[in-house]
Amino acid sequence: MGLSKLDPRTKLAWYVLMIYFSLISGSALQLSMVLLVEVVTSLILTGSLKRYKAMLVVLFLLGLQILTVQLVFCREGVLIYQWGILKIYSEAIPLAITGILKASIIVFASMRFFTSSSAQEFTLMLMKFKIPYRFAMLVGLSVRFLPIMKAEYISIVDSQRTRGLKMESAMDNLKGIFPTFLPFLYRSVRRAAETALAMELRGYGRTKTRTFTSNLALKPYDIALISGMLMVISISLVNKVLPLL
Amino acid sequence: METIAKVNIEKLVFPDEDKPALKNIDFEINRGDFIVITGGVASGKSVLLHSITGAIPHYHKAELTGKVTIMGQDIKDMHLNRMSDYVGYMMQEPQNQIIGLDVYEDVAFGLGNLEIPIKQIDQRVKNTLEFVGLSGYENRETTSLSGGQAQRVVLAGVLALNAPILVLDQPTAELDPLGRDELYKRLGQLNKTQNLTIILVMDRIEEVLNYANRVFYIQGGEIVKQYSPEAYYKEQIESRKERLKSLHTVQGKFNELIAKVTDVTYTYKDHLSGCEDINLEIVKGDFLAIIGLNGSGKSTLAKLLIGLLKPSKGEIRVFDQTLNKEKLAEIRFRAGFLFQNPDYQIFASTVEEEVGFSLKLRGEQNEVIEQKIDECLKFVGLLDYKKLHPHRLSRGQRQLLALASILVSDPEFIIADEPTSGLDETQGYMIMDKLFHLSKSGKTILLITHDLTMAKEYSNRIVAMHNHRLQLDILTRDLEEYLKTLKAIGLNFHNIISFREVQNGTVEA
Repeated sequence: MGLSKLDPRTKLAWYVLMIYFSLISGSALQLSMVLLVEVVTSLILTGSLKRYKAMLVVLFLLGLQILTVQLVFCREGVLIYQWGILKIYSEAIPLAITGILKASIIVFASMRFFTSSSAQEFTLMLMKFKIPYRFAMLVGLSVRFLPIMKAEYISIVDSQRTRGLKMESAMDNLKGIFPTFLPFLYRSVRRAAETALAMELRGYGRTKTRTFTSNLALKPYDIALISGMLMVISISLVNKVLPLL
Repeated sequence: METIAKVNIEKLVFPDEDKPALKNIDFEINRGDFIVITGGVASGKSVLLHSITGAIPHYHKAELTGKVTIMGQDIKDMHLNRMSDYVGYMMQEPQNQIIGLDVYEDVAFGLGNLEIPIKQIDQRVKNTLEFVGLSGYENRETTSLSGGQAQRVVLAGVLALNAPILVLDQPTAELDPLGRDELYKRLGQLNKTQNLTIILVMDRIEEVLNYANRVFYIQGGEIVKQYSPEAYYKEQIESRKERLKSLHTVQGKFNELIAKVTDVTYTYKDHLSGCEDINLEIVKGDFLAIIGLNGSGKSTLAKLLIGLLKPSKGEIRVFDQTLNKEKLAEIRFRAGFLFQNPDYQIFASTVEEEVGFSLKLRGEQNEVIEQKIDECLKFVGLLDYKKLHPHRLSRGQRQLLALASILVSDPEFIIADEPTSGLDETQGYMIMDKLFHLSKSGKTILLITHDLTMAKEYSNRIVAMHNHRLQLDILTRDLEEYLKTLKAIGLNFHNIISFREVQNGTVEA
């Protein structure tokens, strides 16, 4: 059974479960286990982990930040190194590792959840949660316009470059914010106004409901999976309040 | 004939404006009419369409004195999202009006809002896509559509609603000659066979007049003249002939090479071909028109010439220097690039500030900047607007502003990428006249266009591109000899004055 066959609500339940475990797990071993489960299930359901490649850069930068913060500010354990006012304590590294593992689980689970369903599935899922379709459909709309906006921004930058604006270094980019961002903003406002008008003139919002070209229905395996995950969370919560051991 | 709508606008004034955008408008629309609206820059054409569709006063606030009724109902009393029962409206930029992620979803969008059962939606989407020539495109992602395809998808979405009136604002602005011809044929067919009432703001006079029965000329917010298509065509052709009499294409005589493209190929990241094995020489004083259908590689070539893209293979020399990173700034100092959409560059809060931007970047002195701004604004006819916010100008005026922003740097070589796209004919000629004057004063112009009329009338040399390759490089005066070759690649110069096709009211096309 592929990931795409699962109902988005099942994927949401899995996402919640992963976030929950990343938050309640305290040791590096527990967190490693959760991350392993997350990665293995992804591999089984999608057959490849290629799509998560881009995420590694984000995780690397995030990990570097967590490590720096822990090295500079952690005051737990024994002092193992001192250089001027910089003091490094023995607990800094384990805390940084658990922090990085928690961040990895959250980023990985988020990426999987948000890339495994189509915009239409998100819209339908939000409607199942009783969110009015006028708002739920905005998800699809934002997905639709993102690539267009990106292409337009590139054209704007090109246009200003031909007028002599330098966009080569970070400082150039900073200086070029006004000439590039303002046309982008004007265009976005104009587009938003035109899109909204086009939608209204095609009857958007004339009634409380509308016909969707597809529908969401929980299948027996979705129900079983969601029930199972809810049960795991419930048992874990009960165990937290009334520890068995 | 049954009257389907009555438009009586004594006065329409936008907030914070003194002058009315429309005044003394009074006409009736009969079922089956095919009305073409034309007029000068910022004359009120689109405002009139907005008033008929209910966008004014429901969406854009304005004080409307008068009454617009459709099928006996005052549009002031109708909610905007109920207007789809009466009017289908297609605006200028198709990508702004596509809502669905795939073609099926977009065409079905309006039908879904009407709560039509899914089986009927399926059938109507299928039929409409077939009608606009997009059968089999149901699952195509809308972001991957070309300009022409996107325009047809929007048309399908509007037509699927079966409204009795279809309102279109420059529907062929992004289409090449072939796409334009096809779209007008389809509209003509709808008008004749289904008695669909069509009101359209015209961008080019040639094709659409074959199908129209009334022409309104609007000026200063007022319909100053109503024509039969024949009378309008006659008048326009006469005035065009007069205008073109003054054009004598004598450029390209300097023998100094401005740009040389040698065996250039460009491939996009996704392995899509941009252009292949291009060899081209541009001589000082040339007014060179590069023509071709949408996607033929014209714009890629233009971007290569200004260094926005780097050739995957081959060499480009501009001003006798190899176009590379080191020489780029120097080359761009002497060359200007006019983009298709002026809004890609406008950011300043006044017209004069916008024009002076390049000079400020070059560190010119204030007195010089001011003098050059005035000169350029005078040249493009915008001197009176120098203190105005650029976005208060019409689209045509904004394109002139973009041209002034380039001219202020006094470039020797100007590349204009479809500068008349999105403009109506009057505005288009205005831009072309300015480019022609520049060419006469010794500037080298490279015009990327799919407007064959303009290519023919203004250039001294025509280069035709097809399937990313340079197919033909000829002098414009020899055009007649190559008409067959050009027709074979979808560039039909015979069609540019196609109104003659109409004989006794029947369309031969």
